[in-house]
Amino acid sequence: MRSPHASDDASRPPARSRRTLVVALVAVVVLLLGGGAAVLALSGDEEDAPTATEPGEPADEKGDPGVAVPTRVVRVAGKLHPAAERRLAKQLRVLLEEYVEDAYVGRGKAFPGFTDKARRLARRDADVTTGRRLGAGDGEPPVLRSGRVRVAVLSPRPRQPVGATAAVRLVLTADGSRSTVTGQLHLTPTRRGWQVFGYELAMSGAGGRVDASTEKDGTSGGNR
Amino acid sequence: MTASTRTSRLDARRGRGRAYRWRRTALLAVVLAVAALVVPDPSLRSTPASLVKVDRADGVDHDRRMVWVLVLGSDARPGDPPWRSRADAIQMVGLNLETGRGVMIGVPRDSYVPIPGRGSDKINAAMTYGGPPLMARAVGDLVGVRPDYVFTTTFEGLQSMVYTAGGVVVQSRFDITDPKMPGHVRQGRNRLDAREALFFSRARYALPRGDFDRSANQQALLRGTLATVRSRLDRPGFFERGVLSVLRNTNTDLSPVELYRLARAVTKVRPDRLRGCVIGGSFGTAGGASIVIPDVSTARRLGNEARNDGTFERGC
Repeated sequence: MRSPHASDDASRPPARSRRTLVVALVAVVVLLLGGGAAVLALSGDEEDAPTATEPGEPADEKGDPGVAVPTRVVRVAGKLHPAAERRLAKQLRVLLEEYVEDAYVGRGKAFPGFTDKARRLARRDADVTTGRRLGAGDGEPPVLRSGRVRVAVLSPRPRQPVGATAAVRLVLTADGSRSTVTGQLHLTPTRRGWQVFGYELAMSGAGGRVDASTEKDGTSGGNR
Repeated sequence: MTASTRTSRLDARRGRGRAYRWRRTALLAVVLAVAALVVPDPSLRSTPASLVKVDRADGVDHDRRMVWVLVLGSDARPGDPPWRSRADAIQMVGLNLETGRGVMIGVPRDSYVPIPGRGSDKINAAMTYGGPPLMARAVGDLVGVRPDYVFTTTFEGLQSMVYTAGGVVVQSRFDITDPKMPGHVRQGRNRLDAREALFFSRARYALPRGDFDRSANQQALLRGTLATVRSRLDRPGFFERGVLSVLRNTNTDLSPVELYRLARAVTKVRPDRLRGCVIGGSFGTAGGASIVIPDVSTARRLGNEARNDGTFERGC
């Protein structure tokens, strides 16, 4: 036997359809208010949701570097004490944020945190290792839309990491076009702290074209 | 309730449903039209596919342009120190870290040469007389190039490293079986596991030129290992696990940091630019033992040609 309310329900629009209408209306409002940026939000693209730092990471004592590139140790060959791992992640994050801010956002060629020879090599490859080809030279500086670093560490002893590979992914925009920088930075500890001694980077989308790739990982950074 | 009443009610519901669907369709059409009109052209647009130019750059800071590494395979049995046993595999490897080119000079283990302070003997005996340093001097005297580094591993160590790499792919010039050890490698491309890799580097009885061809196979194994490692470098942690395996399975006086940087530089060498030559010679006997009398002039020429740029100008 049917419920007495069944006939009333049948005479009303189904709940799913009401939701569709509400979503459509909300979409219009959001589109009107949010403009172009909302397009990405609705498309499920999370790249533009900047996160200040890794969860639990304190703000940089040396001051706001301007960009946030969350850095996480994801692989350890050998053994690495948790405290040493946290310390390493923080050191690499600060180093890489300084590099990204100087080279890609600031279009600079100082390459902070690089060894002398690696700096010379990187200047030779400035088309890829910096943001100098992003946008017009006299236009707005590139903006870091998202960034993330995943670190693999070699640590034969629990408190003595001896080398690290930082897998980097940066998404930058400049003058309306988007570019993606991916690749690896190779680091070892030196007397000056951890330094980049090698790199293997690729830049796609530079020169006005658009990279269709989407960020799969939710953790992302960006300009602060 | 009569049948006609039920029918009229159902008709009324159907009518309301149709009206609702029309309203919904109209509203969605309005939404889309408004969105098309008012949404500004987004500065960032995701497209389902695009052709994107990708620029690449790479570089590694190493304090040497040319690196010479003496790679030794010791026949030490499990538990024995590798530097107190004979060296079965002797490869002098020169790598140009700027050009990505390299050479391998294979030395037959039975090469009869002067060993500093010990008179003449088979070159692999230098390992038992004075360990890797004396081997480095003996091989250096033969080819005219002093190695910067010496790496010594054992049968176990080789297998452990190949296991860590997940196997290696090699090109074999021969179909190989050996009456003295189990295993089989077919001519052409082979994917070798740890045990098969050891077989490939040791088997010699079925090879046309015995120890000379075995030395060439060892070079094929080194080239295949480099290719395999390079193809997996984008796997998170693969490089670090490999270096850890080298640390644990080789004898070297490099610090872990130095080894890490050297290994990263070595991976910049392209396998297709890694040429290998085996020092030729003739067979003879000394003290009742069969020996190889090496072609010293060719050994020196190979060393001279490759010393500074890692290439053989005139081939093998």
